[in-house]
Amino acid sequence: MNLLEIKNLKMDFGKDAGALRAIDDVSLAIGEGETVCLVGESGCGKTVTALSIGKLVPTPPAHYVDGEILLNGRDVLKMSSRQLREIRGGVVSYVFQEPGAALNPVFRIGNQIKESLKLHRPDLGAPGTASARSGMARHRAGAVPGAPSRRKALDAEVIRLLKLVGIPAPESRLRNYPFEMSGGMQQRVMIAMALASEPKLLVADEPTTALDVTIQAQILDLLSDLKQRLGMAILLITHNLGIVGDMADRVAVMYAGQIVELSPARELLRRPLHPYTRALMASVPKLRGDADRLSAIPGNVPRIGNFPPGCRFAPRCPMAKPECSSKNPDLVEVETGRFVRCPFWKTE
Amino acid sequence: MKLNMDAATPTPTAETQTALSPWQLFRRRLRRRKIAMTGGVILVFLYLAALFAGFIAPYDYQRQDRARFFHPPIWPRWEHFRLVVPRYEKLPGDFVYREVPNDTRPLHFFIRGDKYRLFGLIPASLHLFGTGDTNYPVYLLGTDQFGRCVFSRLLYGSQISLSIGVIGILLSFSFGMIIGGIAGYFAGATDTVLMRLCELIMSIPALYLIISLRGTFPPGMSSAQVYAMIVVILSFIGWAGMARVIRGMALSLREQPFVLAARALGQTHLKVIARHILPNTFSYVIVAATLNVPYYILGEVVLSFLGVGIQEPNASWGNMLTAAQNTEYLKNFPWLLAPGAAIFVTVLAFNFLGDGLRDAADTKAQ
Repeated sequence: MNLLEIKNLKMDFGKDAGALRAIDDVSLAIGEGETVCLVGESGCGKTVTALSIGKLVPTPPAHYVDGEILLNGRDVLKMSSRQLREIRGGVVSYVFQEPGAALNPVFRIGNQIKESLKLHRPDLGAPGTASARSGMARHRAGAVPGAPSRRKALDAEVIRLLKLVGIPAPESRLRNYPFEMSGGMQQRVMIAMALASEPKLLVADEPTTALDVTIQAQILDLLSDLKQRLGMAILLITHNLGIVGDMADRVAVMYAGQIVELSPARELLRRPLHPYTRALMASVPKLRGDADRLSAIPGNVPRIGNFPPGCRFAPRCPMAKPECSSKNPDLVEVETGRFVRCPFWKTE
Repeated sequence: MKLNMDAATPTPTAETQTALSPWQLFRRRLRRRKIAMTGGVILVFLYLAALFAGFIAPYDYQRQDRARFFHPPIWPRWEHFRLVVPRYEKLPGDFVYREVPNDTRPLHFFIRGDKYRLFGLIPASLHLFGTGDTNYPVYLLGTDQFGRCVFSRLLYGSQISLSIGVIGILLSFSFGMIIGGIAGYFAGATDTVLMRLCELIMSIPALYLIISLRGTFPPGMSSAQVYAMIVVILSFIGWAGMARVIRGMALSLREQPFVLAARALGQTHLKVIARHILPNTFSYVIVAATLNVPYYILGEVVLSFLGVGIQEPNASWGNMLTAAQNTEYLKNFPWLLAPGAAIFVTVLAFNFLGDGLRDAADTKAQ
């Protein structure tokens, strides 16, 4: 059984006549400990798909039409709000794009991490729990001698987490306000918050977009390192194909609310099949090469609710044929593990 | 901004090297506003005086001196290197008094006198000053129509008038923040219903609402009940305005990523409101609260002045002013206006402090 299985998810914004389909028939599975990248241009539905895993898209305006999201075999879309609160953080944690805005400006970062601990780790330093449990917590927290009060145990755990995400001098840092930290440090705090609840799946929604390039590399290294050590699965959302090769086991490419290509990362990078993926890869600037202009995909992602008939990429596709604008092709497995939503994938 | 500050206040480098918390910055900016600090210091004195009213007041607020109605203020003076209090004698006619020359008693400090309860609990009889002789009273602000010491009553009255503002604000602001937070956070239908309710309350002229609400309470209530009633009535009117502002702030805060982040951690709606929405409105709330305390003090004054508030013989600034309605009294016994002066000073102090707090909290106003 996969950790996460999204099956034929269809989601609208609005209802009835005014409904706009934001996610159209998206299926995606993530196994335990696997890293999947979700790639696509802005506005193609990546974030909405990711937030749906925790049912975090506000309903209304969102409206789930069809499909299911199985997390540990249970359908998230059918959960009560209490069950939802348990899986949020408990099974799936989020790291967002702008760490500066995702941290509450009026709280010290230590307290924000503690919020996560209090919600999902009631065992920490709880009075009267079995000694084995508190002993384990103490061991993880780096051994506080004597019977630690809950407060001490929480502090120790926060320090352990801050160390884990590579924040120097965590003992003094936990008393910092978010604005006293740099963007990279803030993002590390966000990751520490996400890890505090010991999730099985970490959803990182463009975690490096707001950071400068050197910090980006550090954060990505941190994520792969944590994945190795903690064995959690990662769903990494990005519009940067450069990241994909370093991180991903598999890649899902989204376009206009649909997955257009799903493939093991290595093969996708070596030989992209869908014309959209090819165009995306062509627009990554190369270090060597004589092109003095960056190549770009002409046109824009069609606005939601204004999708062209037939293949949604057809109007921008360099290899479009007349029949492309009449029928939207299905996502077909063309080689083992490789799915493509284009009948002309063999065309060079 | 940072450079300016360092130039203005040459602080040790150790302090300036670490980043200041928002709270430290706020205090630093506040400390530079002299008027606001003056207001704050005055308020500290007023509230301390209210707290220790029984000790500072030389007499009980109920004590009547039947020989001295409408007595003018009696002040101690220096004589032979000590403070002495002169004796006055009553002349024929309406409330005319004259000082008797060379007949004084020394003023004593920490002297036993009328019994009172400190903080309403501890029985005590020690007073800050007095003569210990009923024939030589110290009426710093004269006496009223029943021969009661106005200064003592002013102090006892301040316990009611000053605390009503603070308790009223606490009540109405917490209620307003909860309602406003819920309305703004959930938006949609919840918001519509709650805000129409606020508008309903705000659309009724406050004074009519106060008086009609007062009518719903039975007559002959104890003074504690009346006090609670006044607080409830004033808060009932006051929460709506606060709720509207908080709702507006919550509407914008709910879109902040940190709210989504808290939801993604599995936090409940109510805790998101309590932990993430409302604390971000505090800088506004503290300022608004300070600026609004005077309305509650004045509200009590209005109620008591109209005779539906604190009842005699209990003292409040409002019902003490009732005695000063009569122009004839005002002309002959101007010391009866003392509670008016006290209200004036208190309201002004709150406004100065509130203005200073607002400026200090506003990071753009440098």
